Amino acid sequence: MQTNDPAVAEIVDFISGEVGVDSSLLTPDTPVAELGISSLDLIETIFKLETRFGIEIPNDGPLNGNDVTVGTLVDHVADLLAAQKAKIA
Amino acid sequence: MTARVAVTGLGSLSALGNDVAAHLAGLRAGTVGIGETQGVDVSSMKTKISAEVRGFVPEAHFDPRQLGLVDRTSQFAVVAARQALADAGPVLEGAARHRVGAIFAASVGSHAVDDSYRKLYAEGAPRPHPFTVPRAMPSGQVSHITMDLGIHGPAFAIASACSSAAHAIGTAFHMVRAGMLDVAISGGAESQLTYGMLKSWEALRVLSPDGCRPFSKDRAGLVIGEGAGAVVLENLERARARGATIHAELVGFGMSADGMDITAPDMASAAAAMAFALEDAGLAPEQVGYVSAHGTATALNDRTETAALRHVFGAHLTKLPVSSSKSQYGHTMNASGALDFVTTVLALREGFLPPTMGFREFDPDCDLDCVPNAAREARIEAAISSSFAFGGLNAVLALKRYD
Repeated sequence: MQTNDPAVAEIVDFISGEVGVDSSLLTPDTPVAELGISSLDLIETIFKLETRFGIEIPNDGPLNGNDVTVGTLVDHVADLLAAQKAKIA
Repeated sequence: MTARVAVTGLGSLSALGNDVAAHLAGLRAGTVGIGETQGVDVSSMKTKISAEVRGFVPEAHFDPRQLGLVDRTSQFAVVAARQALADAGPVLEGAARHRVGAIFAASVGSHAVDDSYRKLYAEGAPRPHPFTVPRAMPSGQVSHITMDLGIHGPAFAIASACSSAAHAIGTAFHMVRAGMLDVAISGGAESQLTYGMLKSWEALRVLSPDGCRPFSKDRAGLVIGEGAGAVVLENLERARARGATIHAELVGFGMSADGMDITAPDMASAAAAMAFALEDAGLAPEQVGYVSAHGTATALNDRTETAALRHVFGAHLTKLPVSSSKSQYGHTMNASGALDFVTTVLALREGFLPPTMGFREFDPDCDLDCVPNAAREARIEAAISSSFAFGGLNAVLALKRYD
């Protein structure tokens, strides 16, 4: 999770705004559950990320599970965004 | 003085078949009714499978003029209720009209909503079908049953998501046991197999792409089914006096609310519902010989349900078969409590354990005898059927074999 990458920073800011958690707490190794994000909250956050960035986050990817960390979430979205940009380019 | 309550009629429609004989044959044979969805265009969906009722011809059961008012959900309910009543014989003869009731699950007519809103929003129709409201209303199924069977006593519908039919049967049980009713027809139907509902379930990320494998380590979520279950509950002395066939005796009903989360289950609350059902039935845990589990095949449900079973049954759980018939006829939502009840009655009456199909890999978090992949013969004295709904509304029914 490269926090100095503007794409990553944008994802982190978006998640921070959606879940109401200060972005300074969104560190890579923190399990999202520890931030008070339940599995249902995570599903809604994934949906909002899909809508905001125009991507599709698969069901059977790295976010499928109950021990997702902030880093896993952000990196997965960043990867999908990068793949999408590569496809368009 | 409370009355004993007999089960004297059964009806069912599911992916296992369109009557109780087919249901029983499917349970015994380990038939899996899950397959590629045919009734809905699933080309834009990740999840292509469901557990559909196949070969159901509405025109064979309803007049064409009547059909326009009856959603697929209510069609299933009426057909299953007719089967249950026919099975019970002349149960309504000599019954006072205020002492025969009908209590069913409350299920939105999803097909009516889906069809009408698609025409309205997507196709720009100026107005929806004029029968959208009567077809969609959640009390539709019980209203149609009362009209069809000529029932004039207490009748209403109960909503508790996937526990709806179990709460309905339990409430009907209370009314017969308390002496308020001589006869109650109860159960539930639901068909959520519409484009909008399948997409909505998919968005919730709980659907399995490739089959229903309860308690298996590689389980991947639930499979949506459709169907109906119906039962006739009757004052046991009355049933005996008229020489009715008694399929089983309904002896206990336990309820609880998690009060925790709108989707995640709670171990302590699920355990409490099972313990209350046993207490109500006057059954010791060791007397129970079979559990028809909620067993949705989501990672969280099956793990939580296993922990709850261990909490209630302790060491007895090692000898207690627990299976999930959702592996055969999918998760039929508001119908599931009724279909599982029918399944449990058949297990008691016929002396066998319905299997958990699709089982592939042992999960230490689901340390159960889940009757993997094949039915077994077993003489069962007592059994429970569990429903643990979204939103933490739990209903557990306890039954005894009747000899």
